[in-house]
Amino acid sequence: MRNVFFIALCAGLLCSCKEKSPKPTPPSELTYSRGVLISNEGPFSAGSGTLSWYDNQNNTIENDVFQRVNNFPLGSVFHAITVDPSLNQAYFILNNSQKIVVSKLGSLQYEGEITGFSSPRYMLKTDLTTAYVTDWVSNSVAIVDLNSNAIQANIPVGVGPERLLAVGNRVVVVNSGGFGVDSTISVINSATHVVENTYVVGHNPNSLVLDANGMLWILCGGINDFSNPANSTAGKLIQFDLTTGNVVKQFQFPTTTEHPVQLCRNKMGNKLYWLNNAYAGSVVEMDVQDTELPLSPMINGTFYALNVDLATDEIYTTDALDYQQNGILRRFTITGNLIDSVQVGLIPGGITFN
Amino acid sequence: MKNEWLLLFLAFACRAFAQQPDTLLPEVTVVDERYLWLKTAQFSLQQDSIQLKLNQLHTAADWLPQESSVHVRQYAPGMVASYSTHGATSAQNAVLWGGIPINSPATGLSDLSLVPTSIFQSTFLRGGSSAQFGSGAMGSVLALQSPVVTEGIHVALFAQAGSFLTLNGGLELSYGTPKFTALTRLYTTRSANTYTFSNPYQALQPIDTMRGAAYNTRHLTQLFEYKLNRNQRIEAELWYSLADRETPNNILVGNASQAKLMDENWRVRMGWHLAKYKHKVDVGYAFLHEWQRYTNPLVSDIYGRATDDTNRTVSQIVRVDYIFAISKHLFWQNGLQYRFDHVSGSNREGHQNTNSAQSGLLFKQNNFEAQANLRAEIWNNQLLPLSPFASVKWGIGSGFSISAFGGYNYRVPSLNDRFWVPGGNPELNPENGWSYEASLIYNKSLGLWGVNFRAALYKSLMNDLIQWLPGTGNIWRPMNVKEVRMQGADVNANVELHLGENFFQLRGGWSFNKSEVLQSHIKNDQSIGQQLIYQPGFKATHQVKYGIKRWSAQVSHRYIGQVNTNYASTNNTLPAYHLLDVGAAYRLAKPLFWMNWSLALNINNITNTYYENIAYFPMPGINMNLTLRASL
Repeated sequence: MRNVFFIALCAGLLCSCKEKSPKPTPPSELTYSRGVLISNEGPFSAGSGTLSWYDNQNNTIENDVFQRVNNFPLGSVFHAITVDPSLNQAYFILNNSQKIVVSKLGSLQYEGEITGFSSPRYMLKTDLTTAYVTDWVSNSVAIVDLNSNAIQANIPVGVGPERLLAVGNRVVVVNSGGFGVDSTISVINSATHVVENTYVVGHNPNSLVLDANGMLWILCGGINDFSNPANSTAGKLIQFDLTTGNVVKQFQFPTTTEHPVQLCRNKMGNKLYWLNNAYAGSVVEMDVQDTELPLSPMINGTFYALNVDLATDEIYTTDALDYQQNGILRRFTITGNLIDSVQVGLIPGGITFN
Repeated sequence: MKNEWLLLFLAFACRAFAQQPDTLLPEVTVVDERYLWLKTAQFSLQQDSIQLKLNQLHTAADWLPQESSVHVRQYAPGMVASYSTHGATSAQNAVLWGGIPINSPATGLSDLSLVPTSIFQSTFLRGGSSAQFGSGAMGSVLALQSPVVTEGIHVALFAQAGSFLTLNGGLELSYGTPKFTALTRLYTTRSANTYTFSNPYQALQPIDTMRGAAYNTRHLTQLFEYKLNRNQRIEAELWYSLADRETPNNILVGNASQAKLMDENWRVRMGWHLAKYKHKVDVGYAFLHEWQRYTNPLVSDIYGRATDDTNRTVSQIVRVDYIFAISKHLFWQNGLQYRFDHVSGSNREGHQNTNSAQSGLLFKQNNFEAQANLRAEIWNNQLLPLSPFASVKWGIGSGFSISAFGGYNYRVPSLNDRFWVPGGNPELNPENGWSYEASLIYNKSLGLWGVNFRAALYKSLMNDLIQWLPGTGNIWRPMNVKEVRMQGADVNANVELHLGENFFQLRGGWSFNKSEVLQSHIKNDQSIGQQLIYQPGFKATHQVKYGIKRWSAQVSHRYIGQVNTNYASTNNTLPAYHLLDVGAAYRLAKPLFWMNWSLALNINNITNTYYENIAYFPMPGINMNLTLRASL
């Protein structure tokens, strides 16, 4: 009996020993200077987002980089990244933590935070020291002074502002509807910070690009009413002339169960790409001259995020799998041939090129 | 701190306690015959007298962590608490009240924070046992029973005040005659839960405060029992509970949560019992009504309506049990049960019915016990695979016994799994699989000493595990996707010394568990070969208890090993931690104002360890509570 207790005591003591974690070596200014940054949202309720770094020269991946460099987690629901090579800074947008973490671009070392948001989604630099940040819950665009990392003012826009795009001295914001419905885009004069125009496009616009002809393309997800599917509406792809404020072309998606997201373009600006469904969509390609929506996807898959590297003309996708394990980053040629596939963090929702 | 002391003393005046000192060493009397039937080979744990004196065990979320094979996780004290045993998740462990399964039919889960083990006599039974208890009893059974009422009038009160503006109270009234007994119990617990902690996730580790974790729960139970004659009795019991709780955000979230969860349960059970000659018949009916409401003003639907989800389930159960003593050593037990569940509310509407029949034989002679059971269940007109169970226990001499049991266990999908709109999957199969356990047991009384030791090896397989997965049209859908193997070992040891008025006890439990995914229908699933999330590979519990005359004291230690929080390769674990609690109780020698009084002080997490049992939800550091009891 004495032996039994002795063994049990030893087992308890052994388990109490802590492993010492090695002290991290600080990265150099150039360690993360050229490559692909992936924002992994992390678990919504009980977790932190993580940052993955993909070296597209050597096809290597490094996960949870921010934690390793800075020794603390980023925050809840890591939604997007904006990089600013001129200021040598990276901005990590943490939706649920209601803040943007500022890091040095090459080393990823923590520099500070921008706070005061309700639900920051995307950031766009409008001049040397100013950036716009869409704030999803407050239905506004925050004007951020990048010198002081402080919000200067908020510009009211539509419901649930998401992505934004600079066209000359105007910034176009898609109002995605947030939890509800909106059908507009807001056009802000970035010199005066005033909304010049609000245009009706289609239900719940979520992304936009500018093509080689200077035409704006806007992808509308349509309404997805879970409680009453009869109220759901189909998505739309719209070609919009910002100079006239008119819809040039529009393509209605065939079913109300398809809710396309994440519109991108190629380097030339003559091809459009999107995911045919949120959460688990395939990549669809369309020429800007096409008169009909494509009938079949270009790359089959259950992708969660999509982006095109305009420097290399390569397509990147992520797959969140079952949202409980490492997601997958896949890299394709512009024609859809797989180049590489690597494991990234949990729920990879954003792909940013530097 | 000054405020907490003030509250402690104020609480004495207005709150009271429910346990009489002379009923604090109860022999657990479990009237559910199926439970007695099973107890021959399985490990069971009951609340003990010193813990009851210290009044540490408010809910099953406080009590069950003391068992090494059980891992409880919750966002903060008093919040929704789920648990796992041997890798079986909360929905795969059954909670019974008077023999009635009370896991939520909507979610399949049991919230341990709403199971007040302090007012029930509670028994934890380890191991799969679907053949006896049906769906959900894959990992363990937690059986709750009301205590036996003694003759006369008894009144007992208790009041407890603790850290973070925690106030608990209770009242127990009982009346008993040889023919009739009545027992009324009220139990309330509330806390602001505003504990502070040093936030390890920020560069300078600033002091932070838990926000949005307040709770207020109330329980009322009423039991009547009437003996019709020497052989027959009838009983009826009501259990009403109401819980009003905030639901906190994790500490990385920028703002405090405004979400709230309200749970209301009405449970009624009635029974007629006959015991005559070689026959024992129990006929029972139960009505269970569950209502939940979740509100969150910060999240709305597409029409701008803030989240206000409700869930209402109504269950009715009719059961008949019959036991026949074939001989002095051989018993034959049979049971029939009909159950109907209906769920309605936001995003769901549906029902199911289950009809089951089970039969078993128990043989007991000298040092040998054996039993065999078989259960058949028809679930929505679908005959499920037969569920057999067999066990054997043999005393091989000198205090040593060996035992083994094995059986086929299952869990039917929850009503939410089947009827949630959108995504509910009516085609789901029940989760199912075999489990086995073998034990070496040593029980010996050596004069003043008592020694108990048990070492067990177990293995379980679970197939068709249900997981919600994203699908087309942004819709998530539950699917039968995984096969899991759980295996490991449990060691439990107990040494007691009774020396005059001194009582000394040393108790320990050590559990090793490897629960890994064997196969998955998810493409390239990285969870294969990994330990299931929130299942510690090792857990240890140690307790030292001492009692002399009117004094009792306890030191309790727990070690919870590292757990996975997801299947990603980084940022995916919670570190191991130790917890140390101490407590002491004193009972006044003489009545004061015609009442017997006792006082208990507990200090929990005395080393002020920072720990989480759900990622990014810190649990309290050092905290205390003081309890005053009075009984007439």
